Amino acid sequence: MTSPQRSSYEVVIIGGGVIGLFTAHFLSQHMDPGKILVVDRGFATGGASGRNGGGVRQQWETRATIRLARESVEFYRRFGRDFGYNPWFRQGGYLFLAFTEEEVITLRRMETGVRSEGLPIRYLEPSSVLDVVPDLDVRSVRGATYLASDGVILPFPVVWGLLASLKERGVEVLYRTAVRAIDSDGHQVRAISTEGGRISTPKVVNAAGGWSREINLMAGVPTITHPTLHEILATEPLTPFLDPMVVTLSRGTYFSQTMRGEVVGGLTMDHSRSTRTGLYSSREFLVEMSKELNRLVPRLAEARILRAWSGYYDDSPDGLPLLGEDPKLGGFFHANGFGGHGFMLAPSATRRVAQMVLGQKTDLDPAWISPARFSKPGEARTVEGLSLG
Amino acid sequence: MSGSGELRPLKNPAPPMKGGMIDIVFNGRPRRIIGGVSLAQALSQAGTRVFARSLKYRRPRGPFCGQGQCAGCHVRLNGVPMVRSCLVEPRPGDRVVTEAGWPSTRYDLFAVMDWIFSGGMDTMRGFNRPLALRPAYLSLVRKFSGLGHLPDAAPAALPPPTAVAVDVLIIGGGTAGTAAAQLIRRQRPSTRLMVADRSRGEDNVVFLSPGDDGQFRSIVSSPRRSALLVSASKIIVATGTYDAGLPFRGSDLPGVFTGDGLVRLHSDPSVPLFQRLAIFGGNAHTLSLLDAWKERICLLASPWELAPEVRRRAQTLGIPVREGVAIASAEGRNWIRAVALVHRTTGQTESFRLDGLVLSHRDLPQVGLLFQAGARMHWRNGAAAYFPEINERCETSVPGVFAIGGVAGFCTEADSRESGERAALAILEGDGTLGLPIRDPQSGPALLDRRVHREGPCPMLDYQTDFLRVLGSKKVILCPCEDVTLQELERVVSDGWETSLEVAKRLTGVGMGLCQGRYCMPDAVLLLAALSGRPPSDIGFFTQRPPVWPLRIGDLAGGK
Repeated sequence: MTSPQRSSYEVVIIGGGVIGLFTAHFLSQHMDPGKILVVDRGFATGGASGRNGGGVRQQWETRATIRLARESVEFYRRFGRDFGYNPWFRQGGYLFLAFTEEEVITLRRMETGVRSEGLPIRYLEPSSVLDVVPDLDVRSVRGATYLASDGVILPFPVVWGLLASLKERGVEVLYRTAVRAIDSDGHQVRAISTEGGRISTPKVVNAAGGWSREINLMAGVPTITHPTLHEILATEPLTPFLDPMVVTLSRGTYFSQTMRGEVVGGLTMDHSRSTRTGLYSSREFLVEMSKELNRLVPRLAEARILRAWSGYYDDSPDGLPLLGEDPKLGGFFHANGFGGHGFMLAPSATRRVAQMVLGQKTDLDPAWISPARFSKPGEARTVEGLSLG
Repeated sequence: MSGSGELRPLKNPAPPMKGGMIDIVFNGRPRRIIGGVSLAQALSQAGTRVFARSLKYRRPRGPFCGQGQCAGCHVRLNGVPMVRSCLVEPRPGDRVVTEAGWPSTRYDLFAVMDWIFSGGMDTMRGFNRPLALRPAYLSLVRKFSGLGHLPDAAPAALPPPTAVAVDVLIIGGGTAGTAAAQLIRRQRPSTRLMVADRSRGEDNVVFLSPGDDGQFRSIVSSPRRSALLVSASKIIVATGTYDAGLPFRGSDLPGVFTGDGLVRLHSDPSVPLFQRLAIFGGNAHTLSLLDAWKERICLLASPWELAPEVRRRAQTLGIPVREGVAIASAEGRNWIRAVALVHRTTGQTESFRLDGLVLSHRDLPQVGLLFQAGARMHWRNGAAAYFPEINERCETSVPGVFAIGGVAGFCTEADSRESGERAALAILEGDGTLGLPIRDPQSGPALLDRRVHREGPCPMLDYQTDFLRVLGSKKVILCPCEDVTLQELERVVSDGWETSLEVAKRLTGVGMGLCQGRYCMPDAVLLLAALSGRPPSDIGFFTQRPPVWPLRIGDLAGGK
């Protein structure tokens, strides 16, 4: 627990993961960095920012997501040069696999959208899939899409680079300091109480990821996002044989190979009925993921799992994040609900969040991204169908 | 110091050589090696010194721990990469390949990396500029990644994992585990009991977790068949201890072994593999090592005063003894040939020529499964390690999970046995009153008090503090699996990062390698404490991730 240096700040960001840190980064370019505070109850990289598989893709159904992702790819390509920390962003592509005709239609539709954004996505017949991943078992594959500029990033250096840069600019970041309460007069945020003391502030950003629901409860605003436990594993490091991230549409199984050579992958398990709390790895996941890896790359059967771990996704009902000011509580901004895709969208999404916090206009369609979209129940909403993996 | 209770014999020393020779194909050429021993032992005796190369600096790697948990002795065996050669017996016709290095593992031109980056390379902050060179850096570094090629072929058919339900699962068949098993079998023969002991090469419990239904879930692997998915109502963890590693310059050279590693790898002193062995430390294995290797031992050195009986034995055998010393460095190219000692108070240095160095200075509890089961752990200064909190029934903070023997901090045979019996009785009597027919209830707290070194001074922290004073600028490999240097750990502190083990792990990669921190984490805690001035108990820990030993994907993948 640490106490903040000041008793009042212009903006307090709750959550010291990539979303919070990137938001602080963009804010600090337009305001006094000394008046920004980032608080986090854990340690840097302790949440999803240090637990994700590092996938960065531009293959999405919704146009705005494609644009945000594309901007992120450019940002991450330059991250090492600009921040001095090397995230080893390797653009080996993303390969989406369809196993049914229905999935082929989904991929074809996505392909059209991505291509219309000017990205050189390719639709592959099963035989051409082998040109991309020779060791894949394509016998039941019906079709695939492939975009070579998608890639995989090492998450930790992004967090370290951001922290180093924020420190240099004079932005205060406090870890191991929990937020206890958010005070408002019912319409407008006034202050927050932390373990390290009370801080008055007119603006709070909820960038707490898997804990965004708890922060919403503290603020007394409707809870739309909720955390789900996701598991992931890494094999022993193998000589490179796999260039892209491979994703199956049916189960959201994904796997790629890191710069160390480990095959890192996961799939979505339903833990909603589990009584366990906290982070854990389940036996069921190890079994299911082994079956999937063996089914997709049979030669992996003799390879070994080195370690498995877990983290929280912050899910939203439509697979799209919540970005912007809360419709009921003034000064309370959302930057959450990324559903497991916060890392890949962070640089571009948080740039807009910073604009909104500063009261500027953004190029985002509020109907798509604003937290207010959930206040009108009857209305048809855009849904991101490819929020998987 | 640690483990300085009574001296125990090793559970499973390497078998004496049966003399039969077998023919294998080694790196494409026929080679005749000894059968009936581990492949690591057989290859070593046939002259193989470098089994593998490290990831970053291409430093030579050879057998070290003898129990399948380091990154030293892995080879490609019959098309399967990274098989720990210390865990398998060779069979006639085996195809063995050492995969690292060009043109060969022994003479690797890329080992020049070690020389170019003699102060260490910074993969976190380097290779960033200019932007135009980024693709070249990426493909170059990627070329060096991985420790072995994808397996040659997929197995024809995979048998599905077998589900097994038992009442009690005992993990480890040493003194404590056996005592618990015997008592349960005698008192209640109807108990469905499973004793899994990895040292016999099978029944290795790699996963343990509480389930939703009050049963514990575990995965038990063995080299011969698909995994067992075991459900158990009660768990007794009796996984024992292992000998620690120690960072110094050259500590990762082939020819440096842990004490239990040497005994598992080379039991037969009549084989002329070592002419001049040095032993560092006086823990439980030292006496038996002295007796086994006698005149081939050129030095017994220790960070602190040796137990009188150990010192006497060395003197009787005419072995030079040095006490209160630290290892500053080891020299050698592909094999250790000299070691430099520095006296911890006088600072005097002394060099010894040798061809083998055995680390026997302290043993560590094998606690991975306890961390995973969610048991509350606490740091003990004396032993400089994390142990489970247990009550007088030897039950951990997780109801139904018991910890006995060495892993719970019991040193002597008698205490280990008693801890096993206490756990067994607690299980047999359910959750009712603790009536101990064997020992009076008052002895419970006394037993707990006899666990290793609870609080107080931390001799191993003092050792690392002394060592840091003689540390030069040349890199010291702290984590041999991932080539993380001690200097990188120093930078965590000097750059002002949070000095917790969790943060250090994600900044440097320490503990993320094949041993999952078994050989680097205990020293990383001490070094971070020494560098930051915080007590070791404040540095925290990271949990070993499941599986606690690497698990074949095919062991789980069979069936629908």
